[in-house]
Amino acid sequence: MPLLEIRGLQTWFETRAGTVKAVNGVDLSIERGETVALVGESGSGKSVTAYSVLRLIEAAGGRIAGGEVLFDGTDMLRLDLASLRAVRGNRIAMIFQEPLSALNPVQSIGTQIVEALRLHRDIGLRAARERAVELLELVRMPSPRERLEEYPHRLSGGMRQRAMIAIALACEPDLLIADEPTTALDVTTQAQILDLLRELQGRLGMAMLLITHDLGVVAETADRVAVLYAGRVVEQGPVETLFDAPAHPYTRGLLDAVRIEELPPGSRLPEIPGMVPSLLALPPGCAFAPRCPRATPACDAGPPAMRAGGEGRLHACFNPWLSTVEGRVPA
Amino acid sequence: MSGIALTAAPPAASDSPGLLRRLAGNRSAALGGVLLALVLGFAVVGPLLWPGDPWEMVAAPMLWPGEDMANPLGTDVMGRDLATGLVSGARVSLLIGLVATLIAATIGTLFGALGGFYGGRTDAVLMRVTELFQTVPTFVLAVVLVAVFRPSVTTAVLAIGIVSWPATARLVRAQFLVLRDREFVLAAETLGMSTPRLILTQILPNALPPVIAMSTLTIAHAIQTEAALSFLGLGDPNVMSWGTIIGGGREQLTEAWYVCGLPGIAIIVTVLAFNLLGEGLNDALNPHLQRR
Amino acid sequence: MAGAAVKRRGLRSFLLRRLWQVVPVLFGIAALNFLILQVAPGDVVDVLAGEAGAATPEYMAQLRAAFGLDQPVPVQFAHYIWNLVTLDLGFSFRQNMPVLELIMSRLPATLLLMLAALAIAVTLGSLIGVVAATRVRSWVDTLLSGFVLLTYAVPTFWLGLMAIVLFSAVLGWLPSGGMYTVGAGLTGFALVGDVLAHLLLPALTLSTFYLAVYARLVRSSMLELYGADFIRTARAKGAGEWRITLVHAFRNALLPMVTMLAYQSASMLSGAVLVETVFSWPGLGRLAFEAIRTRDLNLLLGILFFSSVVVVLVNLLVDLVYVLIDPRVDPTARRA
Repeated sequence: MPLLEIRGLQTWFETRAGTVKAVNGVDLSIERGETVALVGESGSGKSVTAYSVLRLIEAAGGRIAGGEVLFDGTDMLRLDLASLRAVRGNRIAMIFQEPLSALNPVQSIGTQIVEALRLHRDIGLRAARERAVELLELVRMPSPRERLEEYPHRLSGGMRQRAMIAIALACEPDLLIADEPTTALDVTTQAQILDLLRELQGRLGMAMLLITHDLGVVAETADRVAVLYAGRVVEQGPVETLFDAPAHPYTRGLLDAVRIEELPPGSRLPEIPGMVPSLLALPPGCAFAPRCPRATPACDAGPPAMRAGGEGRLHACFNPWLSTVEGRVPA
Repeated sequence: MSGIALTAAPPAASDSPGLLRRLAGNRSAALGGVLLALVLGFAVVGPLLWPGDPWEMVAAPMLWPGEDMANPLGTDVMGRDLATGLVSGARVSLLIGLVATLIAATIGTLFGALGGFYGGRTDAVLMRVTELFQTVPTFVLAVVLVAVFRPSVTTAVLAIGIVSWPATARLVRAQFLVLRDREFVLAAETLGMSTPRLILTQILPNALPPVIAMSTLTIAHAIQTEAALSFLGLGDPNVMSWGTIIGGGREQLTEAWYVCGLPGIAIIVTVLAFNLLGEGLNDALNPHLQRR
Repeated sequence: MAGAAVKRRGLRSFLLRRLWQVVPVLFGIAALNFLILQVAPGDVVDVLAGEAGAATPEYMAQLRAAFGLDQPVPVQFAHYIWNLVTLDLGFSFRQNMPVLELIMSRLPATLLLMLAALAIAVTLGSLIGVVAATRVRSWVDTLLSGFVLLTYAVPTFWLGLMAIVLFSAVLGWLPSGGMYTVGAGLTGFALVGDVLAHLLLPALTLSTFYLAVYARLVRSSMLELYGADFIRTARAKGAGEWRITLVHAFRNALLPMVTMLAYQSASMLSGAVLVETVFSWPGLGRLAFEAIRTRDLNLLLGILFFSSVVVVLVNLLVDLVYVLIDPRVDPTARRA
């Protein structure tokens, strides 16, 4: 049984203009100790998917309209609020894109780590503060004991994200969701934070769902990758084979301009001609068809189902690029 | 000579089409307008319905409202007709509110315009004075001014005007700071327009809409201040205002609370009218600088 | 720990600098007072002696000499400033007491009233604001908007009078005026209870307007804060809604409220004058009312000067509180 299994997730936002189907049937699974990257352009629904797992989307005005989010066999979407809170920050933790705004400006770093600990562990204040120092050491915060008293605005961007990670790791979660954790940081710091995440993940044996639009980060960090387009996973599989031979024309478009071995960290997704379809009115068929070089009339008839492509590869396309892969035969 | 061709025409917010319609569509402005029409009607038509001297004792003292239809709103402790008094109060309140606000708006606009336009030392000095007037408890200052210069309608108007301008000054200054660097102002300056003309014909008209909205709120506050001054016995001894009636009714508060009650309601309705109208005007005239 | 020590040191220099900034403000207030004296009808001593011949001719002559009326205006101004610096606010012949002594004897009552009103306004205002924010567009929310609108329009003194009618005359629950029951000879807790009973109506009356303002302010800050990233973090940590509301959102909503407090200290003092008059509360406001009645202009000017000083000091205190509750404010940095 996978640690996390998302099935047919639908997350909608009601707006004046109509229902925005930000996530429209996402299927994704993560095994214990595995790092899965969720990539896509902005607006593809990757962050919404991540927030839906912890049901943080409701406070942001969204609504989970359907699907299942099975975490360790329990459907998160059916949990009552108390049980949900027992999972949040405890078994599933999350870090965010902009660490300065994600930290409470009027609480010291120590207070914020201690809060994360004491929400889920029966631990005294003194012990919690000692544990907080250990956590700051774990994330390689310089002079951790002094940092306990420090406020977020007095730390550098990298140190803030380290503090965020310390908060997230406080209860040794089984799954860490990292929502573009390096986007707001400068290039050197990005590399340090990614190294740290990779190292901690191996050391603590936790699984990680990494949301990013940075293909370099994916290549360096993830075991598997899922490509999101217009609220749906269009292709997923092990990073190496998928990057070597993308099956979906969209994935291929993403990778075409950039040869994966040469991708430095920090690379943005290359442009693909055409516009992302409006999430208010998705085409009845494949959402990528209007931009797709391989589209046929069949693509507009109905949405393509997810099909297995061998070696753990999955894709949702009527005309995948399977023939170009040497030694591989269409399934 | 107004034919100086300006490449960048100043956007005249005040004559943008549909201002009235926008105001009518604004719920608070519409309600404020209706209430104000009621108060104005009362002040204009009232003297015809209840003519006479509000100070004259016309009936038995402390007649309750409705007790005798000759004095529909009753009489006060001295047997003076309350309806006549309320009408007089409406006229006094509106007059003092309007004139005091005019004074405040003039001082405030002058200070704000000069500070905002010239900046530097002028601005620093003017802002210090403004801050000073915001530090002093304004009502106490108004009390001192009226007491020192003897209570009358004139001193009340002046005192209220003198304590009410700082908010307008700050607003106008902020407007001028923004408008000062706009293209149409620079264009006019390049064409050699004199400074007073530049301020009066180019910047001021564009800075005014929010000042009008704020002045509506200033009227409301001025009316409240006038009432409070009269209540303390600092009203014009020859003029019956709402505050005077409340101040006089205090002695018999428990026996005849309506004497204090009715003028209070009149104040509330009037102030509410101006506040609602001001808020509505603010939304309609001032889309950029909303409630900074 | 190092940060805290730096902050404490910064605080001292911050306080010194702010105290220094107070000086020109006080000078300005004194100049304003002097200007009023100069423009006033009659000569300065007529005004200072309280007109209407309350003072003896000998005292008037003495005052004229002391004030230097035969000297040029700048010298007079210097005299005036010197008097204020030496805390000599003159003598009230009506009350037969030095003005400063009179003011000092009334100040505690005014401060008590203002503090009580502030406590009520902050507590109830926060409560209503938080509740309205957690139930946006519910009846609580609508009721609050209406309440705010109304309190902006209701004159404080009228509200006080109506409160007396309702709570003391009709219901008989609370005393209608004064600070304690005269002649009851109460001591200890009984006296405290008696004063509290007398304090309740005036404090509630004075607080109403501010309560509405704070409620509205807290509501809008809370709504803004609910969308903040760090609230999302708190939720992701597994914090409950109550904890999120109080520990995270409300703690941050306090900051704009403290700023507002500084803006309103002057207005609250003005309000206290009226409320004290209505409830015969023996504070500065009541003293001002007595001074108006007896045309004791020097006493009035003294009250104006002194209440301005109180406002300046309160603002200083509020600045200090702000530095203490917002870690982002650097006390060593100069203010723009």
